[in-house]
Amino acid sequence: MTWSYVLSAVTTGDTLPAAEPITGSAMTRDYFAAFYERSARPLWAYLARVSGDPALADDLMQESFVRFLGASAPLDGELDSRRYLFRIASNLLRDHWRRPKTTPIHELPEELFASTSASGQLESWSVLAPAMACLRPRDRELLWLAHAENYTHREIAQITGLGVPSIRLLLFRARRKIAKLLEEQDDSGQAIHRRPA
Amino acid sequence: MKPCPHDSEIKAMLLQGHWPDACNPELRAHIEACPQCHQQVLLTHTFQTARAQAIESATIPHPALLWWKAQLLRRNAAIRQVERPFTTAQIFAFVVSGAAAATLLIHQSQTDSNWLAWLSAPWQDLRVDTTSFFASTQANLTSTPGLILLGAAAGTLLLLGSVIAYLASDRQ
Repeated sequence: MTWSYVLSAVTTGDTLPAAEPITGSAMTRDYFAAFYERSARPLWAYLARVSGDPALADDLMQESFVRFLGASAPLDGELDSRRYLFRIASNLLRDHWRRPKTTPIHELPEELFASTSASGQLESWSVLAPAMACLRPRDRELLWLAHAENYTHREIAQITGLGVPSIRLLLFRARRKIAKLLEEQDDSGQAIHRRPA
Repeated sequence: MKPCPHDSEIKAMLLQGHWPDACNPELRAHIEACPQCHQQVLLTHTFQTARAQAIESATIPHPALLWWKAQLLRRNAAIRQVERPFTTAQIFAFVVSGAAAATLLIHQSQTDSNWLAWLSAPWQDLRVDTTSFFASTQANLTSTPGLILLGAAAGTLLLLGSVIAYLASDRQ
């Protein structure tokens, strides 16, 4: 597989085939730019919504990409690269939570979430944020990866390092909990989610 | 919990963005009746909407900035890797020089019982007559070749020691 082949795949927007593994450190500048353009925003969304802190998401996103570029793990195509990137980000997020003097997300005032959603477009997040804040960080991670990124249980296992059976169980509980919270909000007229008529 | 038979159909519908407007009436009726599918739709729709809005609001730095930062880190790591054998060689040279100096001193102490006096001989001359310092030192050096070796070993040790001290302070 030559780089011109890789670049042609990038410019057409296709994902790379899994024919030959590449590494983050072996990426060309142009290929990285194209990969970054497609992956940076979803990664930022993941970090911002799971951590509840957009400034932290900015830092961790940059750190994730820098680490990704220095990585020597072979990656089969763009989907694998993206999973690997999410894995790095998840680890960084976990390291951040483990650090002392970190304020847990459930201790943050709700106004903080409102201040981050300055535009009227973030109406949906203003509904999801209080419900997400009631969950454990790991549950937030799992829910975002499963429902926002549409990853399968196996892919989530690769990203988080947990076992597939554990993920199935944890996701089941987290789903039940957040659905209850969202429905409670819906009943009190706060939710924007349109219930099936 | 057993998954609903419509689970994959609903997932595909959500993935294609057909919910809520483009959903077919039968599937909509099923979602209304099935709590499991209702939960699936509720969560996926809410998360997908939140994701789309977060992506819109994200302000990301230019990729060149991250590329440059990664290159810089990679270069620093390469330099550290290259420096490692040099440091090892320096430590090795220091140890060898130290061992050579110690061997020389031990050898001198065994061959000449009055070796301390032998070492201090030039300095005694210096104390007595400072004007003839160069002449007496030259005479001592030529008459005692062991002193040349000792001087060379001490000089090497001093030089290596100062180089190591400099490198250590430079790295800090």
